[in-house]
Amino acid sequence: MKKYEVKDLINIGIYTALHFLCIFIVAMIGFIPQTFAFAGILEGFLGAIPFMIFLTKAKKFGMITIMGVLLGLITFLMGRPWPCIAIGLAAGLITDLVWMKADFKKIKYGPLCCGLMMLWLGGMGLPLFFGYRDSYLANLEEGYGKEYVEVIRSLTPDWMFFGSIAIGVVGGFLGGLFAKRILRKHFAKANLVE
Amino acid sequence: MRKLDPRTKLFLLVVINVVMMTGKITGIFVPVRIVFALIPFVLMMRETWFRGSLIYFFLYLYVFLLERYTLQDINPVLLIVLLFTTGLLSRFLAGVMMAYYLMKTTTVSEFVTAMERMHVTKAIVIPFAVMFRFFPTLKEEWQDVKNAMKMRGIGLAGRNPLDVLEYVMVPILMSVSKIADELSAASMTKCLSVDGKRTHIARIGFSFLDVILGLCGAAGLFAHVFLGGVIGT
Repeated sequence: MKKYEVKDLINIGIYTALHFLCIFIVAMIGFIPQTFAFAGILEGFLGAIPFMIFLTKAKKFGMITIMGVLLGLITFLMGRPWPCIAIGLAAGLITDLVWMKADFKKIKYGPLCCGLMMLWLGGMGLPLFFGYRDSYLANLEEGYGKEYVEVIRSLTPDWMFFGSIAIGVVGGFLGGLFAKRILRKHFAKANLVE
Repeated sequence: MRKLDPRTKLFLLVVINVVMMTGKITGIFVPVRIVFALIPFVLMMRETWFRGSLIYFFLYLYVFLLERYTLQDINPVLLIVLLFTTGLLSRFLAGVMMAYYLMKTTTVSEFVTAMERMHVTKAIVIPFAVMFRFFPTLKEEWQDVKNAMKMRGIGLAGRNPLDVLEYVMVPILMSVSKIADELSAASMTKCLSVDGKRTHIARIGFSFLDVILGLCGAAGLFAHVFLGGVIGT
């Protein structure tokens, strides 16, 4: 394993910020329950673009893992339950392994990596599922009345947790394809990536 | 005026978000919410950002009253529209303001020092610090891209959304990758390294106000966890 330089760490920070911001903006739309599924795909799509550029800079094992941990930490800072950090770590690690398999440069694997990275989105939706779900919904019901909660409840059985992750992954993959095109069209020409 | 310790700010940010986002909005949690909504306001007043803090105050007041008194038993369609504004704001606003305060008042040096005191590894601290500093820069970049597009008469409306995405993302990504290079060069001149020991002149430490706010946060967290804030009881 090669040693990190400060440059690598700065790259991680910058692209994490961009990636997160892209997703955060879309996640705001996801607050309307009917757009729930739609938002997932859009989040993945938009988030994949900066991530793809980041991939071209990630030449050492562990950089993507650190990004995953950072994303988990931000989700935690935003008030999600703590397992979101573990989810971020796992997503980063899986992506890292795949990217290592691609020798850190085969852009063919890029879209797949973009998709896998979106697994961290699972941490964002965590309060809606499993043990957190009933309390979260009961609480919403007191505040917002039954109708709103019924809409959410009907849209989010437990399997939807995996569904929403899958949607994010698909979105990430599609975004990766789009980003690959952008990469070839703009960045390769300007010699910003090799 | 002594500055708050970055660790206190981070702790408060977590607590505010936990209480606001996943907490109850009824019963004894009404005062708890009010207190936590007031913390960013007070802190911002202390920094004499009167305009921002007053806007925050009245916006929150409006949202809070709306949520508390009108959102029960109304037409679901209208409810969902209203919810988009009130529900979203009442959950996010306090945390966003706190994050804004944290970013505006904490220098990178202070932040890194605080993290070092907590023995967090540099591989996490440096990216995290860069990230926090980078959000405002991103906003500027976005403004610049918007201006440039306006100047050349390229509107965003009525186009293929994929094209729009390309027009916006590509310049931002270009300048971002340049900024990354510049930052690395700058950090090199400042002798920032991954394994070397860091020297600093940033003064951090807990003061009286830190203790009060820390206790406040701990009390809120306690109420949240043990007095039925989380589990739907």
